[in-house]
Amino acid sequence: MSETQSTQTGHASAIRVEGLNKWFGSFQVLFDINLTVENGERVVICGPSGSGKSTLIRCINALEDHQQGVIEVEGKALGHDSTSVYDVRTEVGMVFQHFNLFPHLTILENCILAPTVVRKTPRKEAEATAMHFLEKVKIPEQANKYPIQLSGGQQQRVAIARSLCMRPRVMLFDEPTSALDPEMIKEVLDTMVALAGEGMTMVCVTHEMGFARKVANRVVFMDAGAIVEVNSPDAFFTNPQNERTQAFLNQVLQH
Amino acid sequence: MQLIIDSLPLLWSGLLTTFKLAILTLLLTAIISLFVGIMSVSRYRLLRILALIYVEFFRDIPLVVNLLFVYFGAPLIGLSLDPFSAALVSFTTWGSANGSEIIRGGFNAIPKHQRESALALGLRPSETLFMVLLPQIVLPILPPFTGLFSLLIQATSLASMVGATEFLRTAKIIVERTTLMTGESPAFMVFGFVLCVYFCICYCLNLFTAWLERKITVARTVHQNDSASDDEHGAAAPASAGKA
Repeated sequence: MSETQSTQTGHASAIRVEGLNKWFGSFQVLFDINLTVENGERVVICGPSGSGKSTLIRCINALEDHQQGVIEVEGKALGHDSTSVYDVRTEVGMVFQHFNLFPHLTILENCILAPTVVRKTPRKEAEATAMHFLEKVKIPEQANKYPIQLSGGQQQRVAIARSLCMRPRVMLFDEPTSALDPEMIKEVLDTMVALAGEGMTMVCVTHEMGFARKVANRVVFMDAGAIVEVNSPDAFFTNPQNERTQAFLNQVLQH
Repeated sequence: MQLIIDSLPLLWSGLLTTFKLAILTLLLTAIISLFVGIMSVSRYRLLRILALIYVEFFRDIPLVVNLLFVYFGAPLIGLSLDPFSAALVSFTTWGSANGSEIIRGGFNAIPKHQRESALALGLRPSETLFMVLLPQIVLPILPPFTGLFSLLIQATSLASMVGATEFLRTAKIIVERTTLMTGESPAFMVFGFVLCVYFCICYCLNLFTAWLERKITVARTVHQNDSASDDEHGAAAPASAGKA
């Protein structure tokens, strides 16, 4: 049952970020970020838009490069050389706001592309794995359709399955429900809750406070490129320490 | 009419030269366009600059001037090109300068998230290019490329200017010869025939690419019938259950 729990690499944390600073040109977007995520832990990052949440998790799989600080995934340091970048990316799955399924490939082909190309998995085996995960996200019957024929919620579930097919140790979610119609948000969140239940290490940027409350071990609040507050969900929602957190929660929870 | 029937063997040999020139031009144009187009969206600044120079240089010169320059200029650098080769070189450089811009446009039209999600899955940049990005530009670049190809086929008639005996030049020779011999000009008839032939060739090309476009579009929206997918699902399920 536990294909997500093959994490037996000693005591290395799933993700370790230390003293991370990042600039876009001369504009600093991340200030001295320190964050450690243990194996099996689920961390939700929230904060106002432009606070650097997405940039932070994009740094973790090197979609953005960083100028200062240490990023380690499963004990492997993320350097500026391409080898360490590829090493880290194969361990880290990422789900984007806009699903980003490949439109010229069927759902099944979307799922087997990376395993067959990057991991050199035989096609038959990759297809079996893909069907396994498509069943997990409850859309195996769509396997031979093209992305355009699926609803947004279905596409996002496929995107999750596609990432899982690489059997990552860590999953990053970058506002996975922000581009969805309200009635489709639930099906994607349910999929993520199920994934969390299996012990997957997850870092999730989201505005879904219900999800954070239900699933997260810790909630990280970011503002203006810095981590302002890290707390357990209960403490975070009932008794926020920082006044910026309070202001943010007032806005999010009241709308 | 009789004149055209009598001249058919001659016209046919001219037409063959035109076909040869057109096919080689289109083939080389497609290949070089792809190369230069990929260079122009490369991560490396040097490649982008080289592509830019190539494109701007050949795109900004009239095709006829380019042709004359290649034909008469080549001997200056010790190259002696026959009319056919000179035409091929100038059409190909002009065509690929324009074609590479179409390809660059195709790449730029793909949302940047496509590339990012491929990279996030662990694909290398080259794998991302060939397996994710390139297949996606085929459909959008098909119409502008059809236009370019059509233009290039028509442009092959310019080769007559430097003396390549292609279709148009053959027709001209027939008109001049007949005028000299009979005193009457069959120009209207012969050039009318030439017009029809060029029209037919380009029209066939357009029909073909329209058909291709439809075929790709349909292939990407209509999935295999549901029973097939159910079968596959049924077959795959036990395998994955066994693994877990």
